[in-house]
Amino acid sequence: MSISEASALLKKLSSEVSSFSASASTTLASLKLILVDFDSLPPLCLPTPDSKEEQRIACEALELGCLLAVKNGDGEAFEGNTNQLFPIYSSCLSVPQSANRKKVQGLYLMFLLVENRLADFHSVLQTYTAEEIGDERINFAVLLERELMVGSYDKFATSSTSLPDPLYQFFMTSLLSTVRDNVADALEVSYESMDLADAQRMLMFQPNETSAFESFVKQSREDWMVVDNEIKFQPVVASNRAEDIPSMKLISQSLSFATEIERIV
Amino acid sequence: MFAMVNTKSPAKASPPPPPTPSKDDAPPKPPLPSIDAAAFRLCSLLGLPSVDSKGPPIKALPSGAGRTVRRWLSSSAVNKCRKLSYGNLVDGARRVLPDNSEITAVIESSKPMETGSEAPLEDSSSCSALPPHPLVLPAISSWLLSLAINSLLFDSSDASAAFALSGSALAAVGKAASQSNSTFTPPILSPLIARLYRFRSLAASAASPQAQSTVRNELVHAHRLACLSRAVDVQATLLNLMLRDLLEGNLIDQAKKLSQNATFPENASNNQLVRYLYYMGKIQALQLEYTDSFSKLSQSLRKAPENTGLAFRVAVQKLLIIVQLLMGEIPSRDIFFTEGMRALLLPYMELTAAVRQGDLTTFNKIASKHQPTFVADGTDTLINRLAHNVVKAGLRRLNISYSRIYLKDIAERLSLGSAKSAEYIVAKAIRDGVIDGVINHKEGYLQSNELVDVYSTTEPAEALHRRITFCLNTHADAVKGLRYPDDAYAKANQKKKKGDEEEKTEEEIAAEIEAELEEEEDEF
Repeated sequence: MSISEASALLKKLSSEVSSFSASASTTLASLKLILVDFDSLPPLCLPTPDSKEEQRIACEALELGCLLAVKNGDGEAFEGNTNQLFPIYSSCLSVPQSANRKKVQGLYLMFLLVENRLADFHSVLQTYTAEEIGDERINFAVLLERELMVGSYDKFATSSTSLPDPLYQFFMTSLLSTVRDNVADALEVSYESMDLADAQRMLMFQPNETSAFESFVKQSREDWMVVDNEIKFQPVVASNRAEDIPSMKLISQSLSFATEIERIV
Repeated sequence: MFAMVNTKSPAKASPPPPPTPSKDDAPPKPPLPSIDAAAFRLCSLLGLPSVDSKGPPIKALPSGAGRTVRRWLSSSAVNKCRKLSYGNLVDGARRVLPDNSEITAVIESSKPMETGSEAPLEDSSSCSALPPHPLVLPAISSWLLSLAINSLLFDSSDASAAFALSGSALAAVGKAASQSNSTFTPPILSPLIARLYRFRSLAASAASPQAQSTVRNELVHAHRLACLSRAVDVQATLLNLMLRDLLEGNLIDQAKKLSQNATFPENASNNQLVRYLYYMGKIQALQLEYTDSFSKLSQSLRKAPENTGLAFRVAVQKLLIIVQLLMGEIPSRDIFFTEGMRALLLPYMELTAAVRQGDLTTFNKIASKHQPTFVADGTDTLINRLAHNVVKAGLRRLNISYSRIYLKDIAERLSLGSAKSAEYIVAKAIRDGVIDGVINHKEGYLQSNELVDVYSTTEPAEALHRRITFCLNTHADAVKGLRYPDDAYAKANQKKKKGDEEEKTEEEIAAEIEAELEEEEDEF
């Protein structure tokens, strides 16, 4: 349980992660066991003589763990590692910035975006300094969020071709399916009918992915009627039925008025 | 610069010293120096006689001591002492406190280096005042300490010395409090300890980040103790200080958790309540809860004092404007022209105009032009979220004004880029319910639907409901806040008793009259 052991394991881990070897996760696990003994990490944060070194090793190990999780497509592991990593960033101010730090920060933002945790996204963004936001890896996530909010999905399509880092691809694919759902919802409401070819383009399927497009329509959009070469969307039914009157709400409102007025002496 | 202190008006004059044999021959009393005057004011408010008067000795303070101290702290006697120089403070401490009090030593040791002209010392040579009552001494000494820290922090701008002094001040006051044989803060000291903590936090944030992190643990520990001893002032002040600390460090998640776990006491002073509402509003705005944030911030603005605290009100107003924009409403023009705020709110006025127009390029231009102001105000992250609202507002305007409009025209007007992105954006807007219409893909235009008659929906009922609940809540609050004079109940009781007697006599009179009538009948 010493620094030298830890740094040796760290070197081994970094080479394994970059070469995608399978034993990386076991190395990471043993490294984490050593990290538990370091007193200078949160929640203890005691100043030990080696605290700088300990913190540096911890940061790098956890960053590598995050990258490994993304490569394996494991969202939970990624979140677990970031939950351990970010308190170290905020409480141990003297840790030097490692090379992977901005990458991990950008990836975490993308992760929150995919999970649609917008409140957390903005809170985390608030903690980043202006200089970090200027970095292209983090800026990519910020711009992406803006495009998604505004709804300019074609810009989203072009951004997906210019990723700052290959690791972002994992998140982009999940985002793409979310975006497709959103676009399909929007199409339903805004159009009366649409050509198949146009619909395919709007839903961001490539021209040669017709089969994928058709299976998408069949599986998730059963209420679209495919007639000839067109898709007819069901119109929104304006109903005047009795169930539409929010009777429970009106009753509770009137009752609250009555109780309050009774209280007036 | 500091003139001789004038005697206050007769209504607020300190009680005259007990009659001495030579009173009639003595020359008219010279005015007391401000510190002594304030000390005597406190004694008289608490009903404590000066030391050698005749009468039974008072062993304990009256029960409303905390409230009295709060009133005293806001009185004019205390306000006059705020501008005293450090030398005057040291002199005052020497006079008022007992001779070998360690608090005097603490104040003297932190005396700053004198630069430039020293304010003239007040004339204390002819002072024949007697020292204040011993029960009041802890309050006076902690007040003097807070004055000393105030002067170090703001007059000499020496944050680290102020920080050090505040640490020793809290230790000394804690010792004095524990000497009155209880582990909890006595109520008379509660507002003063709150004040000391506030200065400590301010000094820490001005001094260094290390100082700030040491203060954090102290604040949490002190807050726990204050909650246990129901020291309302200290509890409220410390909660606000902790929230401020977390918000400045951008730790919004933690601030939110703190606010969920700690309750704000109900009978705290109004100023603390106003601050608490502002911090809550800020947290909610950053976490995308715009409606809640809007109600908290407008409540804070309404309750804020009107004559003082202009900078605070400006800060609340700025945040309120941004939250309104994020909710999709345009704030009305007249709030930008309130007294004293016009110049500071000018960037926000331009921003509002850009959002109202719906043009993205103008918006981006103005946002970058005033970027330093927004960063200094801490609102720039919120403003970055406004892009969506700009587009929404622009789309709504176009939808209402045109029954049919080409998508490429929309793209041009709102600077959206291409017709294709305009199409996506319009489709999403229709989905979100921002605009009401149908897109014709082949021809490439947007057709607006007929305007729906609002009265046939439940909208009017909702609006009425909101207003009615607000009025009823205000009524309930007003009834809860009614105060009656203490002897009203006794008076009402007395009246009732007298009324019974009168009724009895009336009854007797009625019986007599009846008896007379009967007699008359009998006679007949």
